[in-house]
Amino acid sequence: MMDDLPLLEVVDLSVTFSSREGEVFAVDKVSFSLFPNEVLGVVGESGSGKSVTSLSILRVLPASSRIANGSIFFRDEGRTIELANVDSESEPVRSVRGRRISMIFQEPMSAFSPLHTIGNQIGEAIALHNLPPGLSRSQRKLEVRKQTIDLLASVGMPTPEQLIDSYPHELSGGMRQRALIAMGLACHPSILIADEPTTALDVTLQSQVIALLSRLRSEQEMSIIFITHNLGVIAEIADRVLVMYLGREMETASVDDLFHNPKHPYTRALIRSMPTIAGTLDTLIPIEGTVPSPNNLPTGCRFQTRCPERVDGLCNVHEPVSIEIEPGHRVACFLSGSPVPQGGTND
Amino acid sequence: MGRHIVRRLAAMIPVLFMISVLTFVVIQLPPGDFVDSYVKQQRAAQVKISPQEEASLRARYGVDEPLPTQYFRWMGGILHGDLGYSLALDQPVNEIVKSRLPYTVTIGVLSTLLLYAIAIPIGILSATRQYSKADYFFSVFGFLAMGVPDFILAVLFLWGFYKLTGDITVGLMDPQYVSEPFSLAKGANIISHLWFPALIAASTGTAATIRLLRANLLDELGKPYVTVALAKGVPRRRVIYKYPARMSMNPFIVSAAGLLAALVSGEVILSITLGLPTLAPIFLQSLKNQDSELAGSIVLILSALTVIGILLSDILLAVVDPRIRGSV
Repeated sequence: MMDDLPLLEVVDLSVTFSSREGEVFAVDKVSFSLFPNEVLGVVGESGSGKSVTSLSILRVLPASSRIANGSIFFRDEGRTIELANVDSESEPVRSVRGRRISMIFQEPMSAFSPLHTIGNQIGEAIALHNLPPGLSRSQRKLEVRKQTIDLLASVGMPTPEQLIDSYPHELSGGMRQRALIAMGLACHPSILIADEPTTALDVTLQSQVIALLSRLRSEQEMSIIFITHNLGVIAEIADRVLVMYLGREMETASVDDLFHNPKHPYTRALIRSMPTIAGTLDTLIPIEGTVPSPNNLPTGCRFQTRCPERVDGLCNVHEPVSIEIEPGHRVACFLSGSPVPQGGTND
Repeated sequence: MGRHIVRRLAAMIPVLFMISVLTFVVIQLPPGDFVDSYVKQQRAAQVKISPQEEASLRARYGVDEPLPTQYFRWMGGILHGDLGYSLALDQPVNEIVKSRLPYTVTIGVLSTLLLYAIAIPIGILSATRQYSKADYFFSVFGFLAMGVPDFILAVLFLWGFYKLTGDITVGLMDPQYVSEPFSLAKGANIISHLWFPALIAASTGTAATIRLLRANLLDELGKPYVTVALAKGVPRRRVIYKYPARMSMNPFIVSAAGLLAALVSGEVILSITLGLPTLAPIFLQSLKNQDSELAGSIVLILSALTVIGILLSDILLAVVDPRIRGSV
């Protein structure tokens, strides 16, 4: 899998938000790749920039934010499309958004407009991207409806012929999440970005949705970027994992390396804070402190204020850059060998 | 839904009954009655009225009868389609209403249409281009329109009209139409005369609606379903009109209920300034004269319009919002 060219390459991506205090970096020089038929897990606490990263790939960032730096390369149908340095309504972006790369969101209730049926909202994407040419108006309508019903059936909705005409508030949480996944899959994308698709669901539904995504991935040869703060879910579905903290990449590794050979103190802290079935409450070790405000970032390494292994005079002075310590395993930490800058401070 | 509407219509009857009682009582509350204020006016105009004449006026107009008797006489007439008699204007209320209500409704409907035709596009523009030059321009303009009372706008309009035409009477229609029966041409002519007064009547409401729509839409634009629709690849403009713009309309459907009644009570000074023969100036006069059957009938008409407006806006809301439809 790793021999293939990456499907998606994000290079040095920075995204800023304008706020009262000036420009704030929500994502700061993040790089990662996604390979064909791979599930990349993106983990981090709130404010780590994981959702902002995915919104920048589709260029649907909120109005107060912009891509300050970096490139996004998408290889598709034999060509490479750059998505970060063009207008968000330009042709290359429009040709990809919703058609080749699509997204499913966290809150199935608020992700649907309450005024339109789910069939209308799912069919919208099909009508835009996935109809054979040369159909009459009524044929188009029929075809959209047929494809929508098939989609709803494929995500395990019972009686899709009836549910297609229901409004979001008439469905249960699990059904809404399935409808949302169906919407993301409407045009058989080559990349599906799933932003916390299981967070709003109870545990039983969570594992159903994960099983569904795994099945669809192998059936449709699709790559998935799976964003979550839940390491347990990552262990179930991901091939590789990107760990983010305050807009920076902390560690990237295969899922085995990440759990069995975590290098970054933040990754280790995350794993320690994971509840296990065998463990008791005493074995659950939360990470000390809270995430600092992005308006007031700590000097040096972003994690140093909460890091149990901090080296004073180093970690709170210099910011470590990400290095590859073994093939496919990158860490940004001086303890793992990030180069120490000579003389002066980099602030 | 059908049963719901019938139930709501039935519930309107006691509401209107209570409003009519309340109005009639409130109009009679100030000391004195119509004959008192009439005699006072005549004496102020140096017309001699003997106590005998005053007593015969009292007997003729029945102002000394107990309040319930007066009320039921008026109410009994209304049930037969007779709104009573205006003592001050010496005319049946039906005739007064018939000659004036059409202008009130025309100005009301016209200014409502103008209000939405102006406010909705500008509100959407202001919200989708927040902090742009256009947004600032319309914000300044909107606050001015909200702050300047409409009678001042009316005076300015009259001045401009006089400067341009040398004529001081705006009038409702061109002279050749006055005695003609109603026709499309006559209607068009009336509208061509009334659109500016209607615009003035709509000014405050338009400015307020722009601000409200802008705020509502800004809220909606940040909602996840907008991002989701954009992420599907739907063009931005279509996303805005299909989803958040429609969501931000709901509060206006609710507020449209009271609009017509608010316009009638709001256009009093405007109509007096422009000399428009609408219900509003007559309404003010009847309250001052304690002309109870005229005043009571106008209040009753306005209340009926409001209650019907509320019902219509409820039905409309259920039509556009499936969440409400389900609970009806």
